[in-house]
Amino acid sequence: MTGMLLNLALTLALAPLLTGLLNKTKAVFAGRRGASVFQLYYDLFKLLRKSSPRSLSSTWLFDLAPILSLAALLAATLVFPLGHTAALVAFSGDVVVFFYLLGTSRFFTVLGARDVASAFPDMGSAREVQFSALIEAIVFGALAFLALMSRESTLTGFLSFTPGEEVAAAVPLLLAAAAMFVVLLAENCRVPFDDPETHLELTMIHEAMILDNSGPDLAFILYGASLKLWLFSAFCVRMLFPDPVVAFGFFPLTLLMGVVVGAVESSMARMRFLKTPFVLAGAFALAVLALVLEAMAK
Amino acid sequence: MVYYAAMDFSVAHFSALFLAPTCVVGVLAAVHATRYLHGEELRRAPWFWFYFAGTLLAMVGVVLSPNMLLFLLAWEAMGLFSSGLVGFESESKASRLATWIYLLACHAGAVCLILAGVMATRPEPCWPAVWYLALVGFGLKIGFPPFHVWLPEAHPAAPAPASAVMSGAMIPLGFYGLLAFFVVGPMRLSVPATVLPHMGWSLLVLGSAAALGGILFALPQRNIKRLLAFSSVENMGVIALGLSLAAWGLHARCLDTVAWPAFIGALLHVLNHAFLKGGLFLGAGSVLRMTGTLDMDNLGGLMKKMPGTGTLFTLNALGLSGLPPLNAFASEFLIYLAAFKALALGQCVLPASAVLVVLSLTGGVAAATYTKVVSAVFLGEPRSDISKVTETPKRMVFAQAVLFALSLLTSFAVAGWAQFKFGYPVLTLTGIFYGLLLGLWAIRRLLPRGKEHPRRPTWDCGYAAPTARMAWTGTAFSQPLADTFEAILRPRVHVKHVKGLFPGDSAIAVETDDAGVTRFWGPIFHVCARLFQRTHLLQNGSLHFYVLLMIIAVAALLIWGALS
Repeated sequence: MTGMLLNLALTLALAPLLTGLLNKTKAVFAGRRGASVFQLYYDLFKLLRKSSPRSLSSTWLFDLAPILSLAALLAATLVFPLGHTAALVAFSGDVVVFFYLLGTSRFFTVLGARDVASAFPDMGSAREVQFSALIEAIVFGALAFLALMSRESTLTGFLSFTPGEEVAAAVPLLLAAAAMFVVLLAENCRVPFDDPETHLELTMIHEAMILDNSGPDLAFILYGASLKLWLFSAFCVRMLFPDPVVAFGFFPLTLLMGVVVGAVESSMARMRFLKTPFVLAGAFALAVLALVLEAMAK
Repeated sequence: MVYYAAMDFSVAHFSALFLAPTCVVGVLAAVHATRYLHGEELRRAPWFWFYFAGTLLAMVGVVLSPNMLLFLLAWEAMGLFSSGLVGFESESKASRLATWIYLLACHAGAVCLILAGVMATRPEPCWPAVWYLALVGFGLKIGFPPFHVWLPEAHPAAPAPASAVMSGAMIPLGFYGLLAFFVVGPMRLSVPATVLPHMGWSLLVLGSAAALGGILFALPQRNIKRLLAFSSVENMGVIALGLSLAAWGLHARCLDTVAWPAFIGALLHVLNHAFLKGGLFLGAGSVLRMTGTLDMDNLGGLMKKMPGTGTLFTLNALGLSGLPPLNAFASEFLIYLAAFKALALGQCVLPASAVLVVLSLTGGVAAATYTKVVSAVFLGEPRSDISKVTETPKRMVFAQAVLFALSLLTSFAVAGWAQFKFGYPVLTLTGIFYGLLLGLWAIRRLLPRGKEHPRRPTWDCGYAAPTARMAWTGTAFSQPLADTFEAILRPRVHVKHVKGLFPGDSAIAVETDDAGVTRFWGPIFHVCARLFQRTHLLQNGSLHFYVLLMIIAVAALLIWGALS
């Protein structure tokens, strides 16, 4: 229990660092010095002291959306197995709770964005619901594979495995992990789906949705986004590395995912929005392929 | 062999599960209706109440019938009374067409059910045939594609309280019928276990089609009630997927791990859907009553004018998207759980994976659909003049509040049941979620305020005169996702292009027709109509010809009699 709480505390403390590392990697790739890896912490502290101006158009949903959204993300963190321990709250089917809590979080972010009656957040939220609907299918395809492979029904069971003798057995796992990596990029609004760096609203998804949030509201949203990136990175790490490695290398490896994502982002351009559903369809195909291979092997 | 011995729970409970939505939604819809009917409609109010009460009575009769004859009579009465509700606003052509389609569907269903009943009472019945006939018969009420075509017509036509009852409580009675014929209760037929794969496959295919098709066609709709009607098809699909998984679980002899969770999830979804969808239809009714339109692209900003209705509608929408912490998540969770358990056991891999993928994609599109409705109707700035709109009379909000309270109660009850009976710490998790919510809210309040700013118009890139027309309508909001599924939805797009150096008006309108009508029944009925035209040869209006036909018929009968 103490270990679990410690891991939870570490996660909550380190999540903004992951985003910082990611941005630093991108800066290095671009030949810039870039902001400090702790920049997000400074930003959060600054924002928490500021005020949040509100629009004449908005209602209670805009006021409460950041809180509702962050609460759902924090609850999801409790269900996730962090570090070498099991999740704080673990039960059969907790994986559904995890991904549906992310859905609740998104539901309110989207409604909050739609509440200000501006075309930019509307555009961002319309794209957000488009991608997220397609992502659900990929995620549950990959989860079906994990259930079949691990013979477990909890998230901790799905993501804990010891390497087997056969190398061929790892092939479906790699396929599913690739699908989940695409999900990571899409869910966290990374290139090639979205470009968090750009300041042209027309090309943004997540940043466009939160254009009208400021002060503590924005701090909650930014912190939530970094936590979400952490959770998906941790998901990929635990899928790729066996238990003995995860047991002592969970936190460094998860932080390293920031560098990996940063490198991936730096090595490609953002894709046209009309093309992105095809990438998601490809990821879905990978997940289904993994599932079929696993089912045939059994 | 009787395969469902393990599922022998008391008949009283089983019926009560379907009786509860009927009574609860029925009574609350009646409360709502007392203020919903107004103006011209009040003159015909007695008719409304006559049909309404008749429908409820027939529904109670369906659930409580001890034998098949009474059941079929009550079933037929339910269809007839409710068709009166569909055709209540009979001045409009759409309403008359809807009633016509609805009556047709009711009677086609009854024919199939009678045939199924007759076949089942024969000495050596062909059980798969009985199952499929019953499936079509009840499927016409449930709204499995392609038998769903009456739903998107009937719901927008009927008064909102009637829609609430029909969608929340009446269409799931189709599942009651299937279960009462094949699983539990006094009407149960002694079905052999060999039918199980038939049940599993057919429910899987129809359930997937209903869940995915229903929500995909709900997404681009402009009319709130039409959207909700398609969403009912989706929810019936979810229930069917649960039942399908239960059948597969029984077939693979995984009772406790697969069959039970899926079965309970499906039954629970009946209840959850009733409360939530009832609330949403009543909310849509309140919007129609106060604004006079159901067209989402002409609404907006109603949250400030109707805070009670808007808040309850938002919460119900969250619930029906199947998201935690509300109750519809609990039922979908149980179905997911069954699928994961099946995969973990390595049993029924194909159906379980299919259920997982279909349910998740459905959930994703449902979230998109419901954020669209809420945001297009209640959020942002109004797209038409709503300065005279006020909150509805109190009892209309009250009816929805009670329904939502029941949803909330169900969510806690189910979580508690799972925690204390089976050791799933879900009540704790729900508590933590609400705790986090309160905690964050408190933190938000305690933070230093900074400089106070008066409310100002939304910053639109510095544009000084933003109008409500610049914000995205509901149709625009759903367009990216609808475009992804264009091949299935096949929307009709009418564009008035921008022309010339000083362009005048330009416009775009997108309509998505029900594929069941345009691509399935439409062509079929067209061919039928052409074929039946041929029979006009016999009906040429000449009396002599008719007399000749009669003589031929009599002669043919005499000859037949003489030969046999």
